[in-house]
Amino acid sequence: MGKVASEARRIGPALNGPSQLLFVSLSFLAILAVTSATYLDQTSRSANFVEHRNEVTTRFVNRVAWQDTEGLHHLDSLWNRIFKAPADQLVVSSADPAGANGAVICAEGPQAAADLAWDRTIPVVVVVALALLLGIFMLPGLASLIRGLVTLPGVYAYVAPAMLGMTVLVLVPFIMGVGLGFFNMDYEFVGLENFSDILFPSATSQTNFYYTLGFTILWTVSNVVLHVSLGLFMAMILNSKRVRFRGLFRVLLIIPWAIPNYVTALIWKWMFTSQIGAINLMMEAVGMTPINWFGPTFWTNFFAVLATNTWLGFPFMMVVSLGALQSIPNELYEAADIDGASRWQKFRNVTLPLLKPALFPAIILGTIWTFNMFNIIYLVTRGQPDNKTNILITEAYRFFAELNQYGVAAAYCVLIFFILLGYTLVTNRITQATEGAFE
Amino acid sequence: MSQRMKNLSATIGLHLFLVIFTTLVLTPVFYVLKLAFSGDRTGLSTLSLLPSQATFDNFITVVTRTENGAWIFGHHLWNSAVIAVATTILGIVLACTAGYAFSRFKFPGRRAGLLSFLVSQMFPGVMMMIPLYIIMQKLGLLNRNLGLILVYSTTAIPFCVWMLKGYFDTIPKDLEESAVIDGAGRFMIFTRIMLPLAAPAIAVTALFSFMTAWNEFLLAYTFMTDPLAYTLPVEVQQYVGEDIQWELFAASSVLVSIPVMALFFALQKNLVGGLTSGGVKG
Repeated sequence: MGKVASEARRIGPALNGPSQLLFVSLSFLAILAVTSATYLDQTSRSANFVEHRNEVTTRFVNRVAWQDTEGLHHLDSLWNRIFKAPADQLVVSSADPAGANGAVICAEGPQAAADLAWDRTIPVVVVVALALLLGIFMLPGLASLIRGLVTLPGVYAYVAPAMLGMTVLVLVPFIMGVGLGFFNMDYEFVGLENFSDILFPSATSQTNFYYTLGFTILWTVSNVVLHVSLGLFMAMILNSKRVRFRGLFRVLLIIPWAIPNYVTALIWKWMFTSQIGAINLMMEAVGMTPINWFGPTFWTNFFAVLATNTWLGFPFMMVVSLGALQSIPNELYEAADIDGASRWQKFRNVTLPLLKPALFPAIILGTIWTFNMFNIIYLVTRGQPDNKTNILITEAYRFFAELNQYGVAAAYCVLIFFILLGYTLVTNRITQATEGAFE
Repeated sequence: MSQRMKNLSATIGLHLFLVIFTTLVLTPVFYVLKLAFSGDRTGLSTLSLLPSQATFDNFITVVTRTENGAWIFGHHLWNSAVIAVATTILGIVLACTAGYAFSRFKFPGRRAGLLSFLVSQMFPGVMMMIPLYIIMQKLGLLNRNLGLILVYSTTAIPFCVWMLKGYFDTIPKDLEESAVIDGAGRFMIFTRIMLPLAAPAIAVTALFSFMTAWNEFLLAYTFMTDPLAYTLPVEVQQYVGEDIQWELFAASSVLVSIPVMALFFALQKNLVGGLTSGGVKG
């Protein structure tokens, strides 16, 4: 055992934890941003090109109609157009002889050829730079991994099956998923078009990334705030010395957590249904006008999903808080009493600081759960009205299942992944929550 | 005297609040139970918590329903059970060895491996779904239980590895060192000493991955297109799909939820610690 450890120390860690991962992902993001900016800049150089582009994407989604020198009309992906077509074929008129809604892309002569050459070089430069960057970071790790494999083959035999499974069914789909973000629905390579369609939406885009991101943040923050405050409040009540049958109340109150969440979603869908739902019946019983919860108003829909997810989520926070509260020694409160501390002072200076270590990881976890809470949104409102209650993940699913645009869906998912990765790395920095687990 | 009265009224107030709050929280559950036991559809639209006439008709309809001569509930129950059990076994076997190695050995790639398990939890499910769908399609595993078993076990592995690694960490190393002195090999130490000692943790982890597989909805909903290949969650959702039958939904969701809820209450104490210390999603 000692030999193994010293050997490992000599070889050194393969990937130096979150800091390097953060660096790699940030560089990746930066390159993504720079490339898409350059790409857009390049396309706008040929003015006609960009002018028609929006118009064309409305009808063909990432596709471009063009006419070659022999007057034949083609429908092709924008990327194929830039990448594959010979430069001389780009000489086309701005009119549309066929009269098919004026969807002809124009560029002229030598300028077009120069633009074309430039457009063709950028992606190559980007891919090479990315590969180099990743290679530089992977190289030491890879080298030590190979040395480790040679010196301690027995150890790897234990890890290999799980790692192999993870590689085949997690890593490969992940890379495929990232890759798909660069293809259109016909599996044609379209470069960063999916990303630019999402990040720089035009008037005809089928999605508004910034609205959805904003709604996702509203959704996550309001849920987590409600979960934590309600959970903490109930935990403090349950922790009171006066409470009898604490165990019974605790068990009854975590029932919402125990129910499978798709069942929860559908139960609440029914509760809010306009004709027969219990909520409207109750409102009628107390003399209020029933509301069409799943109607065209944003707020009623939002209230329905929020109520569902609050019901689902507060028990977890309650159980975590209760556990932490019960582990606070009573002497601390007694000492505070002797010092004449008020109730609020005791909460502020004794309870909260001691709750932090338990509550922080729970909040981080709860945030990620809520951020990706597909089942509730999809089964309760399905993004209605008008996709206004879609969070990022359900919006991505809409592109996959309803619009069949796998590429845009995948691009959406890549963005979600980076948002979550960034969030985790930042919170990890702040709380050091998982640091101990690596030792 | 007045102090005692004050204390008493505070205690009563506290319990009153708890009872009211708990009742409010459980209202949806009461209504689903009422719905499930309601014989006639007219009973649906009343506020009363008791069905106008209690029957098991909805349960009988759900359980005995056939379509084109095929026993729907039986097929779905079988699919769910096979998938959940196989996922658990596969996931646990792989996670035990990996968890042990991550806990006991320091080797190049260890940190990266642990970290990658953590990061893999951040991949949005939908993102994995699209490529997995394509892979499954190519391998002909759509509508096959094997496809879901493979996908579920890989999604369960990171959580299981972290749970088990955490538990192995708490087992003192002295035991293994004395075993080494007695001449035991590494594999023998693993099977004869570590696994029996970790049995409680393995049981909890197994139950947890069983629960996750039993409850999974989205992937089953997407990958299984043949009505006979559905799992129970998809069946429950189908009752409120195109033809909405809330009372059958209620009955089927009660049937599906009871086993997982029993499991959940059996292991909920262990769940919280594992979830927050591992920092992974469920």
